[in-house]
Amino acid sequence: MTALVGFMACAVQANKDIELNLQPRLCVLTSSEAQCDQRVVAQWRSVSNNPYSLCLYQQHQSQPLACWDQVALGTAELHQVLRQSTAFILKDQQQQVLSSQTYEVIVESQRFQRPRRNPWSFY
Amino acid sequence: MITRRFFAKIVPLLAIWLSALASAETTQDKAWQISVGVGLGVRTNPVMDNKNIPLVILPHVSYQGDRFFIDNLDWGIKLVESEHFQLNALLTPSYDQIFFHRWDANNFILSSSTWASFTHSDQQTNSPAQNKPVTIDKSRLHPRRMAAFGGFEWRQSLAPDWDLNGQCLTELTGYYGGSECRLAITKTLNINRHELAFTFGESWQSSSTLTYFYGVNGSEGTNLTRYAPSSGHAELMRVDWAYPLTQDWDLRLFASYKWLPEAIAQSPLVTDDKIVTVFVGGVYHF
Repeated sequence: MTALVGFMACAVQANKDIELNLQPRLCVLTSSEAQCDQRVVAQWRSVSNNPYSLCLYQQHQSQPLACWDQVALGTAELHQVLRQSTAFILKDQQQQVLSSQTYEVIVESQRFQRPRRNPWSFY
Repeated sequence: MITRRFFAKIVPLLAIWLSALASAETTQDKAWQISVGVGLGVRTNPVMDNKNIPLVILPHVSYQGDRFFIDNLDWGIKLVESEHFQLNALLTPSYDQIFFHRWDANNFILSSSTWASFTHSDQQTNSPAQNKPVTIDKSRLHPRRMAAFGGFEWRQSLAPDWDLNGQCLTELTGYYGGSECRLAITKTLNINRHELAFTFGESWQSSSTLTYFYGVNGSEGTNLTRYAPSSGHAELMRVDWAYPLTQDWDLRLFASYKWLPEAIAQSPLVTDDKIVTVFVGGVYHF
């Protein structure tokens, strides 16, 4: 899923005039945690300072998280509870994707760290 | 006999089941790893006048899944796993049979040193006939087959770069009802691109295991050569070195020295009290 989201994030840079940044962009879950409960700040701006009317969506959600009308930059403060990596997407009024950024959820590895070595094997 | 038939059916089924489970697991990057070592090496053979075992091509197939692993002929299920601890159910082959697969048809004549060692054994009460060579007719020896062992493997990270590996296994194929326990500690060392591992280990083999491989029963020998060993402990020292040359090629060297227990060394079938293994070569990763 993470790889797919990453691919989407790369693939949807249709409008290079819009830059979207998430702070933070990463959450690491320990073995005792099931989800990331974090405040995420999404900031966007137009590199050319042109005004845009657009909305911020969470991946797979039809309802926007925030919308702006004819402005060149915007900030939204989001309280998200996430269990897996999720993309946040800026779309214009025609639902065209303008920019996207992925919030990564990583589960800390609980596996034995070193590869198995059997000293009693044939070789 | 019933037990042997039972396990002869169970082991292949278990292998197929594990294979199916492995293929059903979520595909991970690098879950399957296949490599071939090509080089020059040898393992000494302590059994009779058998030739040493050449090590030239060393294939390695491994699969590391979420719950299952395959490491050449070792198949396992991860029962408990954390960052520093792993408990596995393990299916693994016996190793001693490799020394018996290169028999020629000749009789084996016990040398005076072998005979002297053998007659000092507690199990031997007869004395050899003077001035008469003592021989073992190899055609009378029963085949030493590869057996399957099943049991538990325990891995523990003691400190950074120190790993403990323990295995307690019982024979599943029903050939001799043997059991083995193995314990090894490994220190890994990474110096620049050099990967080094130093291992010290001890293994215990039951009397029935050693009797199957190194014993001589009434139908195999005479009263002079009959031998029923007790259980025994063997010690192992091993060094591994690897150096990545390219993305696909590594240089590899390993050497091991195994001290055989008296129960093996005193067998009339055995002419040495150690096994030395050395290999140097390149490993290609597919």
